[in-house]
Amino acid sequence: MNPVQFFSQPWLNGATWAALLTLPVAIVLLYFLKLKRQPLEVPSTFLWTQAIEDLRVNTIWQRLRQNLLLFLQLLLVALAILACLQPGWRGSQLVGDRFIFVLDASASMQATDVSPTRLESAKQTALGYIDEMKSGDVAMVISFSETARVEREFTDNRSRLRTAIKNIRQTNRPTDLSEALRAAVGLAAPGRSAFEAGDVQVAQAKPATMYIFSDGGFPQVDSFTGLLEFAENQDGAFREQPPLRGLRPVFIAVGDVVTPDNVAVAAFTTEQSPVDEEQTQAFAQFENHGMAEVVVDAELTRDGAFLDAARVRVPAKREGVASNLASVTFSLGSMNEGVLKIDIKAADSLSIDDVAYAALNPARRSKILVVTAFQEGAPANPALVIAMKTSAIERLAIIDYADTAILQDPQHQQLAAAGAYDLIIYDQVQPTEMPQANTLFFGRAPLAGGWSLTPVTDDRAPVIIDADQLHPLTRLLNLNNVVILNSAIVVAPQGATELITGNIGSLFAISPRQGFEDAVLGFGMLATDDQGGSWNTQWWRDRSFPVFIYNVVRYLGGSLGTLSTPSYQPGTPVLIRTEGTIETVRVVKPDRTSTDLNRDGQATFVFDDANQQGVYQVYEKGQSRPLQQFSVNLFDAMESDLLVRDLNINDTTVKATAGLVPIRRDLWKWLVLLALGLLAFEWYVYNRRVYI
Amino acid sequence: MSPHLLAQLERLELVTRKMFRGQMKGERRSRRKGQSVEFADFRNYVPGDDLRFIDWNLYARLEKLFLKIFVEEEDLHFYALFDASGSMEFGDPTKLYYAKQLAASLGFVGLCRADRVKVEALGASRRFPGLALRGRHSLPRLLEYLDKVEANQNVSLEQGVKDFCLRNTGKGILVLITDLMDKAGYESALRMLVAQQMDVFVIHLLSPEEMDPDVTGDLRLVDCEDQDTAEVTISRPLLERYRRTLASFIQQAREFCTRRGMVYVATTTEKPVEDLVSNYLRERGLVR
Repeated sequence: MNPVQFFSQPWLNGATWAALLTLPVAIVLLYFLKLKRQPLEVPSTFLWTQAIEDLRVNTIWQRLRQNLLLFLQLLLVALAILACLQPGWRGSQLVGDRFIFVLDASASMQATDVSPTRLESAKQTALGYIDEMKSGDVAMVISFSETARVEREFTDNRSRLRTAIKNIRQTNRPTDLSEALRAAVGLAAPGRSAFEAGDVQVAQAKPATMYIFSDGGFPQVDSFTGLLEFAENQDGAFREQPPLRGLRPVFIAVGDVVTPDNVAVAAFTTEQSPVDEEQTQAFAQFENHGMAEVVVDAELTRDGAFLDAARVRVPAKREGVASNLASVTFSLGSMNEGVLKIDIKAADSLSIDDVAYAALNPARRSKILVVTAFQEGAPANPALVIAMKTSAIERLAIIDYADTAILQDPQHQQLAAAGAYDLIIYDQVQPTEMPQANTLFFGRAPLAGGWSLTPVTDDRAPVIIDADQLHPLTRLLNLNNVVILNSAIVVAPQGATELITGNIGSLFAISPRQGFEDAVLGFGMLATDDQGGSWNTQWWRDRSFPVFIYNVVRYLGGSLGTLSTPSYQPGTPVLIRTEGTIETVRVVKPDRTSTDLNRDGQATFVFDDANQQGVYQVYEKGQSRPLQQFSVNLFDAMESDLLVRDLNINDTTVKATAGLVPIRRDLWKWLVLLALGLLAFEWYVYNRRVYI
Repeated sequence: MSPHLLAQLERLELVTRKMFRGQMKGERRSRRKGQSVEFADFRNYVPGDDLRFIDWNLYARLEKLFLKIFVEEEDLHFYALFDASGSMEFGDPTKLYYAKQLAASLGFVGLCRADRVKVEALGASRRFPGLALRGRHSLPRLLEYLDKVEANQNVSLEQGVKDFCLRNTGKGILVLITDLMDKAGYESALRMLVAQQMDVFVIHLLSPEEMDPDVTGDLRLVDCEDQDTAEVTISRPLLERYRRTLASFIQQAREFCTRRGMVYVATTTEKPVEDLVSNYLRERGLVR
């Protein structure tokens, strides 16, 4: 685009300039030459001549000064000449007549590298775009973080659009553009209800330009089928950028070109010391997203009181540097309660990721029920009883034993359905209805949920080939020496994890069930044939068996992670699991406001307002001690990395552009209007004889 | 002249601050002692005195001849001199009409009191010499004369006054009704009147149009007397300057007159003649 000249007329050369400029001069001359004075007979000019005597000194200028009409005429001519020259300036305008303004309101938009924040800057830019809209143009406003929110549907009311833009609120959430794209395409192409590639488009999509105001701090959008084939009018602009179902995405990058420094707390957890379980440790990891090495002072506080501090050197993200991570461990002694906060006191561009929270849950022993066959009033399976009697397990859990007959007891059924237990171990027995608890089955499979045990048809002896060394249940298990006489093949439902693989197939698998987990072992401890009382495996004599049971109690019993609390990302729905007898819970947010939640179906409560960073406490109605705590932290490297990236939609990069197209703005209409106004004023002066 | 005005005027009389010698017996006391009913003094008889004035009662008592002296009552010479130049033809009513009315009114006052009244237009002496009148029966003649006078007796103020002074040597009251708009200046004319030792009243007559001109636009002003022109573009500042000029003109004339013992009265044709005579001039001591 060529620069726009102020005066655009090509015929404007020296001669025409001269001709134009002679016009006012001619008017002035004519004014003097052709000034027609009306004769008026007066008694005597005696006084008049005296009165005008001193005016004669600078007659010409005095006359000019006193002649309002002449001035008005000169001004009129000047305006007319100026209007003829067609003055203009370089303006800009939006392309098209339908726009979608998509604004990123994710956590990274809080960065202050552009003043005051990236979101405010994006809002200002978007407001500027709305000002450039012509009358009749329609636009829509969408804000997005990891969900999209339609702030204002298509409207041509610019003040509503402005209000919608101003009302966009900053969130602490991570980013997902595909939600926003889905919303934009859905609203821009009404009639479409699905976004599969094979969909038939019902209504013709109207082309629209989608302005995405973002810092690009999110994963690339893959296989977004809403953005496939495109509008017929494939002009140059459309070929330049991939149109999305009639939408032309224009990416307006928000943020400083120079990547601003930012150090983030990447992880913050508490756990028991592996050496001494009485001791608690806090573990923090820092990530440097800037270009220079940073030394941060990490300050640990508990319930607002200073606890400890450490100086950590965090290397920069550079070639040749293995990692831009640094970590620190704080020893907390036997502390087991309170809200921990770590603050790295960094004066960087994004402050939300400079702090992280963790809550120490008061220790709670889990409740475990072992349903096994009894002989003479005592469990017939000594292996389990022995393995459960370790001091480590006793510290973690309260263990009850019950005969298999209890499964028919309605009182037990009620307790199980109400979630009275954290874990129920079914030793070679199975319940008719699955309890509201985690379960471990020996030699049996749940009746529902897609589980089954397939007996081995040939006479191969089962041999353990491999165990999952990463899963908490089978971690550190050495099963090489385990001999099993008979085992069924565990057929697990879809989505299950196979933990122990044998030569015959799967021997041990775990699968989630409505927030609980069921683990099924294909074999029992005791032989099930008529040689009652004899062992089916000698695993119980092996060192690995108590370790396995300990893992079960810790993991399935819920003791693992009782000290540390779960951490969620802002905006994710939090599932709160309680005992079945509690009907309502109150969730107190970090800012001390609270929300009451009612039981949602089973033993779970869903809390979907976890937007603030900090520790949330769940109270039973009327109780002063929290039932549970959980923390909400950003912990998102994508958000913390303030580098402004290009968008990537379906492997197509959308580069940042200016968005506005330069255009020539003409002034002559206004000048002519002004001249007309002046003419009216002149007429008024002439008729009303207004004096100056 | 309305009967009402005449009735009003009958009650007035002309006053002079000086005592002048009259030619005929009138209704005014004179410095001269003479024949009247008002006793003034006695003096010794010297041969030749009129025997009619000897106080015989005194002679009977004192056997000496004394002569009774009476205060002589005289008439007053009243001159009304009005400007009849072209410039007096302006205004509604015209300044000339107003001047005639004023002259007639004052003249009538004089006639009623048996004064010698002479009303004359400036510079009109050759064609219409002013009439010297006496007695209220002369009013019609006075009015007839005034009727005949027309504007455009274009003679300068100085020339007119000089002419008048040459022909009228008598002392008395002189009322000069004029707009003083003379490019040659009014000063010499007034000085001439002062030299006549007359009791001079200058009535400066202006029309409202002159006081506050209602003109607009680009004008070529033409003087109706000498056809002199002045090109003006009317604007607010110019009008203000005009008013200032006029005010200072009036002020100068007043000062000039006061300094020389003349009474100066500025008036416009808006002010009714009755008011002017019965209130304004009475205050100034012209009439009583």
